[in-house]
Amino acid sequence: MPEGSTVLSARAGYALLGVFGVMWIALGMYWGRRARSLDGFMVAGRNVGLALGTATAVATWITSNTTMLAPQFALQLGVWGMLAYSTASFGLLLFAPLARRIRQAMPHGYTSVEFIRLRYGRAAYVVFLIISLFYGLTWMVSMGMAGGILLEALAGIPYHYGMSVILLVCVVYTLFGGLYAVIGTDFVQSVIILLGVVVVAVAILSRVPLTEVYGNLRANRPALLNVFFPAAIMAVFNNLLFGIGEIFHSNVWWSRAFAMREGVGMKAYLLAGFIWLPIPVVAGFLGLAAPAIGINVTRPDVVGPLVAANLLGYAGGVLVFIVVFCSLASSIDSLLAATSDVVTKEVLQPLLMPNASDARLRKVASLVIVAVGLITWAICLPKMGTLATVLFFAGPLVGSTIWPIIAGLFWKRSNRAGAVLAMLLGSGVGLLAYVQIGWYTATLIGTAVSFVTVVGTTLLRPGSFDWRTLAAERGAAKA
Amino acid sequence: MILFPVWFFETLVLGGIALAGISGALLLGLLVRDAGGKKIW
Repeated sequence: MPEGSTVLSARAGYALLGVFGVMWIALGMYWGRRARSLDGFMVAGRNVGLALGTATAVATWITSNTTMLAPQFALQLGVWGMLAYSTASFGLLLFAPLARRIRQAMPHGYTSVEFIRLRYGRAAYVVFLIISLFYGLTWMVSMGMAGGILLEALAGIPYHYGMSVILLVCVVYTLFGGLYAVIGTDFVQSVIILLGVVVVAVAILSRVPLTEVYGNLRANRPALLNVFFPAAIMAVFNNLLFGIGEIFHSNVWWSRAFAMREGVGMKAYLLAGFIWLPIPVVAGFLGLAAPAIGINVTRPDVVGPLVAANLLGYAGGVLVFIVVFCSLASSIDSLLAATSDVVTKEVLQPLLMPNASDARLRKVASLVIVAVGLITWAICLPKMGTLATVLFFAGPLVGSTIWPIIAGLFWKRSNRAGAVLAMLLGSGVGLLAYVQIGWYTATLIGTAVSFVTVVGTTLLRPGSFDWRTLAAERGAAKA
Repeated sequence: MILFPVWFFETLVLGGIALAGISGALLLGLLVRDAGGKKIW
């Protein structure tokens, strides 16, 4: 297949989009029948078991960035690129003990922003809220863009149509079913993604032997097999910390910690980490296979789908389409729900309706989901930058939150000023590194600055936090 | 330039594919187990 042509007709693309769109909406509405109360809508009744808890963490973390950026990473950074992307699973693994701590410390909690507000006060709350909302929106925009790009590359569906339909489907089922719908559909999506990725990889292996892929790389692009590839090795640490920062701070993961039954969170996040670990390797393999197949890659961000489609033809195109649609939906729905929770509970309630009932908050949360979907759609319209550029800009910001969160959960002596300074200095210096040195150093430097600041300020002026403050809170923010 | 050996490359890719396959089966098994104990939600 020549580069630039599509493997699916636009009609087939629209048909797949329609079938899966209707299926997600139907399943979401079915599971969403339980989401009548605020607790049901925002934290799925706080009783989610191990299977769904594990699957929702896996599916949410397998984003379109995993299936589309991992091949791009491998193509640009080689074997180290695959390994670098895999380190994002450390975020899930390391969040496991935090999930247990969060569930125990805040049995009535709803959001990560709520924790920062209670633990560190108003100034930290404002900084953290800005970082959280910026990151959430960046993540959603990157996936909305990815959806539009993929549908255009695979089926010739115009970018704006594809991007709009994917966002619309996710908004509709999240709107009706809240976190119940998100977690239920996540299970189905995670199984489809895992099986789909394996089928594509095995099918490619049956056409192109691994030794041939290796031999081609060795002959034509040996740098991709280089054990000492400085930029790539730097990317390993950067991605590792970026992944940890993304997961530790984001309400996407905190809301799941609140939603899982007592005793489930730690096991679910550990299992999810191990299940997620091989996905970027398998997806990255598609990128490394490109030179052996003779594909002239002019668009690195769609190299994975192009390789699958080239080797497997129509069936490969359909399979990749389904896998990426699942990975997009499983993350966009989670972000819609988690962002809506933050905006409703931590922005609108304290500012406009401090005495609102749970029933009213439930309705407001639904409206916020629609608003967040519309804002994302509007930002996606211009189709700016590459996926990596958009995503990694948020790296130093989320990296700067890692240590304030860890210290806030486990170190009673960490103090308010230290948390605020750590986030501001970490973000500022990290962004400077992003501009002056390169994206692959930004999170590393931002996190290091944040670490030094938290530890230094705590040792200089130790506080004494009363943990009962967290347990007593029932999610009602004060103005 | 020192290159990753071919056995490393093969182990990485084949191990990744095997682990992904096992993971899918594990998730389905966990669901069946949770359903049996009425602990899905």
